[in-house]
Amino acid sequence: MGKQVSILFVCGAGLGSSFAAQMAAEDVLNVHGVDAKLDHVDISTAASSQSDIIITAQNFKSQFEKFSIDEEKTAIVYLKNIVSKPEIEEKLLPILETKGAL
Amino acid sequence: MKDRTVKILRIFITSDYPVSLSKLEEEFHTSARTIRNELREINQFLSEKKLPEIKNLRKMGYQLVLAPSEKTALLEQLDLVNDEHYLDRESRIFDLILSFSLGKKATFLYQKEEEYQISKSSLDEDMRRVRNILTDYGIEVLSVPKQGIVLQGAERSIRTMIYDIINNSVGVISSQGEQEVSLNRTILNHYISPQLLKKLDQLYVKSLASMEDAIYRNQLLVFTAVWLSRYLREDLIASSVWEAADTPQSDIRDFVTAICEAFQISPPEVEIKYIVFMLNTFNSRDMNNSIEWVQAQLLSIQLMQFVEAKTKIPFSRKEEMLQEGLYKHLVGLINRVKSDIQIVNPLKENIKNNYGNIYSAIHQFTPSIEQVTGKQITEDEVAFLTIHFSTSVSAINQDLHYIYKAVVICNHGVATGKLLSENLKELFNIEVLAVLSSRELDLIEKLDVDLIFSTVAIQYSQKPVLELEPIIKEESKKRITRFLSENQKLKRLVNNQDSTQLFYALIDTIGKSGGEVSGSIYKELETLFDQNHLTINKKEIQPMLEDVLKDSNILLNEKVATWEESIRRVSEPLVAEEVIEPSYVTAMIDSVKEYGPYIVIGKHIALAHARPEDGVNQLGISVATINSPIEFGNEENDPVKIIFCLAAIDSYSHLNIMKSLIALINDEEKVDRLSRETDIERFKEILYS
Repeated sequence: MGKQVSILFVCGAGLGSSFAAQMAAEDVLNVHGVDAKLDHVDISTAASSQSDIIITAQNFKSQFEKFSIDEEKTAIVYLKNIVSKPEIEEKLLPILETKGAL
Repeated sequence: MKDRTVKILRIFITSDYPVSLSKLEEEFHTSARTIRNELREINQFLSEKKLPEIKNLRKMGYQLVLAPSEKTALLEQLDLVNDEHYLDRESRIFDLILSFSLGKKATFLYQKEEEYQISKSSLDEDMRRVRNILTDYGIEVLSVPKQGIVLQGAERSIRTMIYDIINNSVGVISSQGEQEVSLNRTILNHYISPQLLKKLDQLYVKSLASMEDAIYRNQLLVFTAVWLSRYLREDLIASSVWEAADTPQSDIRDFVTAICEAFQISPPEVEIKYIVFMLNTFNSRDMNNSIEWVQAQLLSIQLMQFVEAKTKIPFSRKEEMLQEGLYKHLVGLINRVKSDIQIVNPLKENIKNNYGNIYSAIHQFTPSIEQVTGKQITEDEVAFLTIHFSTSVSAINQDLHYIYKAVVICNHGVATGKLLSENLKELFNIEVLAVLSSRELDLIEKLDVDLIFSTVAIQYSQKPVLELEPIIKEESKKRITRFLSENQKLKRLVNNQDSTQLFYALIDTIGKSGGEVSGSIYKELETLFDQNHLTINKKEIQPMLEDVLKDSNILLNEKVATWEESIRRVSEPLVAEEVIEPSYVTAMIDSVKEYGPYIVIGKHIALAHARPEDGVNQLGISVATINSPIEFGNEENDPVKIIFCLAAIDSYSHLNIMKSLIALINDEEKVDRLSRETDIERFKEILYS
C-alpha cells in the first residue's frame, strides 16, 4: 500500500453531491487498495483546503479557478458525472500514482 | 555512625555471649586495630546514652551486657540511624505499599522522593511496580489531591494484600525473643511497631494459649496487627451481609474482645465477625499451611474479576458475600485436589446448561488454580465453583432494575391508551414508548420496543403481543405477569453503573473532534456507547431512506414547467411539515443559479439540497416524479425525471439515505420504472427493492 492521501469532495452545500461522490470514490479506492482520508465540504470551505486532492463537479471549475489553490500541492479533479465510478477511476488513478498513493 | 559501626553494635546487642576479636576481624575483613577503633567509638556512643559499655573479658572476647528494656531502646535508636541509609528498590516498594496502606499521615510522592533521595524517574518506576503488584489483588493506586496516594479496592483485599506483602518481604515475624534485624523488618517497625506486636502477643497468651504452633501464632498476630492498624486508620470493611454470620464464643472471639478492651475500641459487628472469621482460618485444623490461605484469597479475588470481565455480570456488587464463599470453597478445593480426592457433582450437566457463560469463564480460569494445586481441576469442581457465582446472580438480579420496553395499540382514543400505559408503568416494569392505533402497526419496527400490548385484535407476528382490556383488572394482572415471564429474555438492564469513565471518554472525543462532527466521530461514539452497554437506535441516528421518506412526501407524475418550479414542488411537503423553512427552498434554487446544475447527480435524477443553516429543522427527504422531464442544463444527465429534496442536519446523519440514492443512480432501469409509476405503494416497492 502506498502512502496515505487526503481527498476532499466539494459541492455547493457540501452535503449531497459531494457526499455521493465520496461514496462512489470510496469503492474505487477500496478496489485499488488506496489508503485515503476522505471528507466532503462546501465550496467556500474548500478554498482554504490543504488536502492532496480535491474532487468536484465540472460546473465548479470556474469557481475553483478564482481560488488561489496551489496545484502543485493540491490536485483538482473535475467530474462530469460525480457518481460515475469509471470516470473517477479514469481521472483519479493517474493523480494517485504521481502522489505515490498506489 | 558508620554502617560497619552499627553492624558491630548490633552483634553485641543481640549476642548473649562474649564475641572474640578474631571473629569480628573475619566477619568484617579488617584488622584488629580497626575493630578496636570501632569499639572505642561504640563505647563513646554508649556512654553518651548513659548505657553500659562493651567490656573486654580476658581470653573470652568482648561482651555488652544490657537490660531487656535497654536493648529495645537501643535497637530502636539504631533503626532510626539505619533509616538514613539508602534503600534499594525492593525495600522502597515495600515501604511505599506500607506507607499507602498503614501510614498514619497522607503519603505524597514528592516527600517520598526526598526521603529516599532518589530521582523522580526512579520513583516513577517504583510506583509502576507498586501498581503492578497491587493489580493482582484487585487494588488500584490513585493520587488524590490533598489526600496523597490512596488505595482503592475492597477493604478485605487490601488487608489480605498487606499481610501477604509483609510475609513476602519480611518472612516469619517473631514477637517473642530476639530476631535478626533486617532492613525490611526495620521498615515494618515504622508502620507496625514491635510494641504493638508485643502487646497483642500478651493478649494472645492470656486468651489463646491453647494454640501451640508458633508459626501460626506469629502470623495470626501480624494479621491482627494489620486489622487493628487499618481499623484505627478508619479503613473499614463495607458493611454488608457477612456470610460467616455465626461467630460462636470461642477462644478467638475472646482474644478479639480482649484486644478491643485493651485498645479501648468498639468496632462495628461486621469488623468483629470479619476478624474472628479470618483468625479462625489460621487454625491449622482446616489447612495445611498458611501459604494456601493467602493463595486462596488471591485466587478468589482474581477468579471473581475474571468471571466478571468475561460474563459482564457485575459480581463485584455482591463481592463480600461471593468472595467469602469462594474463598472457603477454594481452600477446600486446593486441599482436595492436592490430595487427589475427587468429588462428583451430580448437578454438573444441569449447571453447564443453565449457567454456560459462567461455567466457561471459570473453565478458562482453571490454569491459574492448577498452578497452585499442581494437578488438574475436574469439570465437577468447575461446576461447584459455578454454583457460587450463580447464587450471586440471583442476588444481583434482585438489586438490578430491569424494564421491558413496549408499545400500546389502542383504537379507543388517546386517553384510554394513555391510561393503560400508565397502569403498565405503575404495576409492572414496563416503559411504554408510544400509543399507536392499529393502522400504525408499521411504525412498531421503527421503535426500540420489545413487547406489544393491544386493546384490539391485531395481526402482528414480529414481536410478542398481548391482548388486554383497556382497564387492568386482577385477572389481566396475572396474564401480564405470565406474558412477561414468558418473554423474560427480552427484559433490559437499566444501566445505573458509575459512568465516570464514559464521561471522560466523551470529553476526550469532544476534544478530538474540535467541534467538527465527522464520520469517524460518529463511529467512535457508537463504539463508546456499545462498550458501555448503552443501546442506541442506529435507525434513529443514521436512518434508512425508508425510515425517513413518508408517504406524504412522495409526489407522483407532477406537472412542472421549469427546473425552479420542480424544486419548489418537491419541497412543498417538507415546508408544510416544517421540516424545512421557505428560506431553504430559495437557497436550493440560488445554489443552482450560482454553481450550475451539479445537483443533477445521475441520469434523470436531481438531488436538490442546500446547507443545514439555510433553514433545516430536522432530517427529511421528499421525492417527485416529473410528468414531462425537465432540462436543468446538465449535458450528462438531463432531462430530469425524478427529483429528490434532501434536508440534512449535519454531514453524516444522512449516510444511509445517500447510500440508497447512489444505488438508485447506478440502476437506470429502476429509475425508468419509478419515473413511470403512478401508485405510491408500488413506487415504494420498486424504490426499496
